[in-house]
Amino acid sequence: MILLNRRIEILPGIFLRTVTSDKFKTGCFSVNLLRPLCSAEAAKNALVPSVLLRATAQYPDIAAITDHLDDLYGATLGALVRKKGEVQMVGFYADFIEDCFVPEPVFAPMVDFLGQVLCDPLLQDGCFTPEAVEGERQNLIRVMQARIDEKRSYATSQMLQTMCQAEAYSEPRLGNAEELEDVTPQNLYAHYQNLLATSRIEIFYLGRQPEQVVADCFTKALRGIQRRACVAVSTQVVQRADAVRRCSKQMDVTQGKLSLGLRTGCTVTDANYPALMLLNSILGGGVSSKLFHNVREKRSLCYYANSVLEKYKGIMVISSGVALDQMQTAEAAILKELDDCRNGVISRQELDDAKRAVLSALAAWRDAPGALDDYYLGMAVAEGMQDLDALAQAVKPLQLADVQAAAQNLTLDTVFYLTGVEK
Amino acid sequence: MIRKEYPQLREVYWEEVLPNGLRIRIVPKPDFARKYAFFATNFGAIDTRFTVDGQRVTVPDGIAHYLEHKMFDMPQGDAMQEFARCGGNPNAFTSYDLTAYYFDCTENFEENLKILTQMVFMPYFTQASVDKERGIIAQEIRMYDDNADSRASERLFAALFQHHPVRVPIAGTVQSIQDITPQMLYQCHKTFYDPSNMMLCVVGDVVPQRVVELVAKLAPESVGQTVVRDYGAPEKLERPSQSVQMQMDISMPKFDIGFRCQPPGSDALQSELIGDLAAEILMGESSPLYGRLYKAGKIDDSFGAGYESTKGVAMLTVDGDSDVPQEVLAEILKEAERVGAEGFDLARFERLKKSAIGRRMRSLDSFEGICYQMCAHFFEGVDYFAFPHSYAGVTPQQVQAFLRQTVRADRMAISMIYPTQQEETSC
Repeated sequence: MILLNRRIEILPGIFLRTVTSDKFKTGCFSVNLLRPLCSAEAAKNALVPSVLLRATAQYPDIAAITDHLDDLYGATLGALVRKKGEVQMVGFYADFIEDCFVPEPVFAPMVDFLGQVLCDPLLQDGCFTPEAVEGERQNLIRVMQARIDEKRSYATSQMLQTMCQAEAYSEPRLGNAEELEDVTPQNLYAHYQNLLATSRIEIFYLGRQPEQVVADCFTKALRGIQRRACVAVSTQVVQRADAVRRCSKQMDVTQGKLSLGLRTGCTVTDANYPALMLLNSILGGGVSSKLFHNVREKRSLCYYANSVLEKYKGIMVISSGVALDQMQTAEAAILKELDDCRNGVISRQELDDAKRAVLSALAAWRDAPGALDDYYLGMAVAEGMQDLDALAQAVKPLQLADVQAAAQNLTLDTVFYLTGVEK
Repeated sequence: MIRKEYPQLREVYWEEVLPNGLRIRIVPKPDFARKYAFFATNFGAIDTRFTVDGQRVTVPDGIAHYLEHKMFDMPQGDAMQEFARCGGNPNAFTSYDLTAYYFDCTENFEENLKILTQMVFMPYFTQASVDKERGIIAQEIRMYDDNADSRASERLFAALFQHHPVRVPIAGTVQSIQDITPQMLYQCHKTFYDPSNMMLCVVGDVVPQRVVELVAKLAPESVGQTVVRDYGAPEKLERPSQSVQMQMDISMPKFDIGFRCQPPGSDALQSELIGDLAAEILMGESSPLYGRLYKAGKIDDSFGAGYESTKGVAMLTVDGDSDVPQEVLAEILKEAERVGAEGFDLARFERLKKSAIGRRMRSLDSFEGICYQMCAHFFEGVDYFAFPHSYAGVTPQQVQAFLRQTVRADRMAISMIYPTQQEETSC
């Protein structure tokens, strides 16, 4: 059984969406504060949940918090920072065993605990403890520095920073290390109070509890928050690229990375988004895609080649891992596949396979709590975005001409090469 | 077909062993749109030396993984495309001790299962297709070579053990795969992809009887060879500690520490649970050691520890990022000595057990998790769904003894990766 409930406002500017389901052994929720993505606050916002998870008044250190969660049968409460278009969402994600599997309740204590983390952190002289702030500041800086460790995602982020340098989108999900230089326990606590008061808060819950019970629990846990008018959030979309920008970086790697950024001229709320989604699947969505089949399998040009959509921002990213001496050849091969899509060189088989893959993925999302959480939070950010069923219905009748039109709207904006160091 | 029920887990499975020895398990999951099938063969990266009907065979490192890539070739074309035609989403992986092929789908389950079954039992290799794959696999190996986490653990295994094939990376090396021929792939397939050496696990809203009937029609008879695997002389548990390090283009040092343990005996599941609980007691987030190291900024939340084993070897591993890996190691050894001698808070022990059971129960929400655990544990001779019962049997004394015997300097090796200088970006 799975029941998608409407989104309801439980407190001023605090919204709850529940999905009632008895399919899983795990219940979950996420609590998200919505902020405009900008360098003035992105890194500070990202720091807040980690500081809050260090200590509460009742559970004053990590060991006490871990003991409490162990007592709740290994429940987890983790910091979660997401970027959807030019909206940053900061908060927490919790998952825990459903009450019916164990002799004591877990759900209500988890919401209560979340309430303590948000509303009753351990304070010293009226603000966060220096130890928590400094410790987590260092940790976050390390995470930011560690971006270069994963070459695949690093290449993508370098490409996006070049592509969107004049746009808010260039700000990384967690912000930049420089933004944390002047952080103190005092100013971070003041910043947090402002976050709590002025952010729209979106809560998602999936599990066996009835909507009313969930609403009551969260209302009780969060009613102490002082609320003011919420800060608006939105995303600016660049429809087309004027010219192609190129950039590169040398690192000590044995495999090169190629990252291409394209403007799609279409976001998740547009009527032609389903066609773009289908195009993405045909071009680089999976093992039946043109990039996988033709560039990797037929020509053995790379180990991976795929395309993904940033659906809130109107960007497509194509990534590939390529032998160092094959970078240009691979780029040309990828662009040829793209041209084929623009020219309608797409077989009936490719169209049908992609449609099946997209519809199957949409159907399977109902079996994946994390995917549902992310989808419904997306709907809360992008007004007018269709729900899963409507999206599936819109994909079914699509024809070659729709996909070709979506491909013709793509414009190449930026090409990034991560190459090796000459030895 | 038998039906086994696990009331505490609220799980059931159906099991049938076909006359050819293929074991099929089906875990019904009504209400789910997604259906998942997982074909595993008890053949992994470490199986490079063996005897077949008395004849000794040595195959190149990385062959199990190479074979995994080539199994998708079928006489009528690429199995990937056949799955795509039926809306199935296939993939495969090779680990040290098994190779698995799987798909998930929401419709045409039986057609997809048919393709999967035909694929695993139908080797089809040509010189040209085997040669063409070499480039792709070499690229994959280079990708792992650029990944500090896999590099650190591969180098740890090489330092920790003296002969066992776990010392070699799963995909082999660019060098070792040069010698792989279609004949070798055929031979490995014949030896190890025998139905009696394989297991199929299906999760989803399917009719168990139909799964068994369909597979029974397609699976071949057993060849009936006698296979003896050779992992070399038993590893010496106690010997001088080893330390290896290298530089890579990364942001901060990484470490991977391993402690050799006694390889699991008849109850592999219990060894695993004891090892995991010992890791939690000594250095889990609620331990005094973790609190101390975290507060001092010597570790961050990348820090983790757990038990790992494969045929013939077992180890407790600890990994993470740290500016001072040697200090972290020294503190672990010191704390283990203290806990090994003094013991630990029993209330905490019970709480950790409760937590571990809760987390393992929740992991059964993952179709992938169910199938992998079922197959991997079955190949070790245990029923994974028995874990609540196994946990109940673990005593604090066992955990304390494990720590005392395992977390010692003469059982350990450390692998560290340090950052090199970065280059400039040109834009």
